Amino acid sequence: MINLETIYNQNMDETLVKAQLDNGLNVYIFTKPDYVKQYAMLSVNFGSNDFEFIDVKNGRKRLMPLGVAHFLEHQLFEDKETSIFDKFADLGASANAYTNFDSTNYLFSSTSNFEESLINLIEFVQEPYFSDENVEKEKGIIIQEIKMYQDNPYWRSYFNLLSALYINHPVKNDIAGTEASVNAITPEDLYICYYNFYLPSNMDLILIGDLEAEKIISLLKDHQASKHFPEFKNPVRIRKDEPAAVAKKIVKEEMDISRPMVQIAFKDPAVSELPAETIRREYLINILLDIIFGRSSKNYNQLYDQGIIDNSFSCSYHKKPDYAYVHLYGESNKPDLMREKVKQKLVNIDQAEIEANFERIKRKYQGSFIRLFNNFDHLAAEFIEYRRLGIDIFDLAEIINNISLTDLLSYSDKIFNKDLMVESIILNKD
Amino acid sequence: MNEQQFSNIDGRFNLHYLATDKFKTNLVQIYFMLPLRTEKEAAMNALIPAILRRGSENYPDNQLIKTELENLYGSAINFNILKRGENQLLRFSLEMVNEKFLSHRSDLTKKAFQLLNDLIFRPVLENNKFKQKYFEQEKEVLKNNIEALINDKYSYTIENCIKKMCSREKYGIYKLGSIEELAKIENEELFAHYKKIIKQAKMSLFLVGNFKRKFIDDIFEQSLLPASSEIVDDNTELLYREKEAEYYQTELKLNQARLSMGYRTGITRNSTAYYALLVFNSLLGGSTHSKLFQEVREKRSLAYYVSSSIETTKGLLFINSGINSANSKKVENLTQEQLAKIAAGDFSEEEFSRSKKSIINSLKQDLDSNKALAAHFLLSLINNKEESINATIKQVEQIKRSDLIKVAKKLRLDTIYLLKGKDD
Repeated sequence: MINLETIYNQNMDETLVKAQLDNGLNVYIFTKPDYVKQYAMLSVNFGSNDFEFIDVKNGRKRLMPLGVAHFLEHQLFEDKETSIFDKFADLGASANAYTNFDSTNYLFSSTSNFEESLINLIEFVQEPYFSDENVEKEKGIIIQEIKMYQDNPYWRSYFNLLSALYINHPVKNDIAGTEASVNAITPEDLYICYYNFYLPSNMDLILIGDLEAEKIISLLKDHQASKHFPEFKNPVRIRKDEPAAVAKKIVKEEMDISRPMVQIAFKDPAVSELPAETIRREYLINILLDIIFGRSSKNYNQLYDQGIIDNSFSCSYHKKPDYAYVHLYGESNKPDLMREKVKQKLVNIDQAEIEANFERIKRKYQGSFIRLFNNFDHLAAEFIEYRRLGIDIFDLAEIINNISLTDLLSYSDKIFNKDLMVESIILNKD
Repeated sequence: MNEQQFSNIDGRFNLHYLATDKFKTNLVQIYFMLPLRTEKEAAMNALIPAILRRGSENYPDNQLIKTELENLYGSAINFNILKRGENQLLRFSLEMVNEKFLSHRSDLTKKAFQLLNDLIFRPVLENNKFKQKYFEQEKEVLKNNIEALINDKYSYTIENCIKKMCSREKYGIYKLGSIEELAKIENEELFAHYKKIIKQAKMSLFLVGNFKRKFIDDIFEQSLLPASSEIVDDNTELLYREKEAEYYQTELKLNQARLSMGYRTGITRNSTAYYALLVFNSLLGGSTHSKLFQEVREKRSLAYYVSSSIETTKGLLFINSGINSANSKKVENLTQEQLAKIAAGDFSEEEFSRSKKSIINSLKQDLDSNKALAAHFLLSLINNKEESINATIKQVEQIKRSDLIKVAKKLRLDTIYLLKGKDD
């Protein structure tokens, strides 16, 4: 028998069933009565950041070409005979996948034939087939994908920003890699990554819909029991230490766009802390940023009135266990003035403003927590991100509620360190 | 499968309510429909919501509005400009969390709706026109937004293709108007235009979620909504013609060329061939099992994205791809070949069946999204063909192979637009 854990959250009226199969695969099911749509996501704990590691088979150090995780994602859709996409389409389901810095996610949505589609999903991810011919063919497609992103001014300046922030951390690299790194990828590289990271115990399966949890888990159990997997050892990722300092203060580029784009970031030197603290800090600093530069802030409205910023402006804080930064973005016809004013505002934070606006902004985040449960794709993506930090999504409500004004005040003078500030600017050509 | 449907609540107003407990949020959408006439009028219509969202009598500036929305647990008010057929739609939408998920009792639906109502109908005025500062600032912001189209090369390519293809039709007008015409707008005439819109324009209101009866009754009592006619399109000219395809291209500093091929289908939501068009589009380029995805991307690695999309109020179909510009002729020929194959009935039973299933799957999924439900209903209102999602699905199920062949034969290539890199 499999141990099922069922959590019913009364406030959200949501039920989550959890189970772990014998091979270590974690299964999470949100049961959603009344819903027609069914959704499944198989998430592998392997992302674009994980290109350097110790090979579990021979203890050798491996340095893979950039973009290998994303390439692997594309390549798993290749089968010997039929197209994976067609297999789903025959069942009336629609499959997709995406890779980010820390994970690779394979998913489908359906309104019928859920169980067959689910088995399809697991089998195509668990049955790799990489040939020279297929790998070569996929390079052309991925290079077009890279070129598409290179023409996206936001994406381009965002990665310029990350490359200014980080000296060693792999997050500075584009998720898909470069044209040259993609061209260097071989089937062997893909197999090495595959056996190091694609084992059931390094994966999580998230299912959402009007589903019978017990029946599905027993189906999964039988299916997985019939397969053999090598014994899993935790992959050992190699990460060079990241110095506290930034790599570059400013990166400028020119593109055919309508007006300049400005991105500003403050590096927040990583400290090792408990996972719950990572999440708490992320919310805390986002609340702080909303008070200082959100849509209801004095600063935003003043600069808007002066024609220095507009609706394109945004600010947010990104926090992962091993890196963090504050991120500000805006388009402006007066980029230099914008940079100067924004920086000025950040060093002169009014404590009284924090006190006056704290409760209200916290409320906004309470609202956004409730909204999380409306959209399956969004819920699955957020769920897995928090789950990997050891937190169930329901606990977020409590984390947000417990944030106090004192916490906020203690951060307000630490986070905007000018020495750790970088800028990325895209200029338009006149 | 049980489908909840929009029902008309009151004869005086075009209020459509879909009552459901399924979502965590309640959704309100108010639509004003305006015929596309000139670039200047289009710019005026786009400028009005931009000014309205700056302030109202009770919330005279953005800071007060945003403060109130945050107080209401991050309720969201969004004003958008859409183009459907040869009409502009001004959409004023509001989404807030369903009160039953809050630990404190709150009448947030009512408060948020009052704010929305106030913004639309009680703008901040000066000398019997819009507040001059807001007028000037938002004119500048709109100018920036029109210019910003070039930053998104995907949309830029499609919009340029439409502009060339429909240069003699109202559909060729960009949904935000043009910079040249925007510059000519004066505050007085804009305010007069606004007053005319709120009195006379076609208007409909959608509610999706769990609203109290009392709230709905109050809408009629307290809001300033006009009793105008439903947003039904009677303006769009359906042009279907034989002509030599025309070629256009623009050069920019780019890494990837973008190709947009515009076709006339002659098929709108009101046509009997509409359901066949949905399935046809899925087979041609609307899905990952489509002919174009398989031939252009999977077999030949010519593109990362290649897809077809349909506009079913005006009767257009576009095929878009991102490629190396040296391959543009090849992709164009491949596209024509795939179309000819479908017209000749050269598609397998599996391809046909996948296309049908894919449309049905995506229609069914719309039942689980408040915004998709509203979008589906919006199109049925505009095209004066109220039809539930389940009824659409039944029609799609009836489609035969021969119906797709007929659609393929009906397509007429009109315009090909290539955005290419300067050094290519």
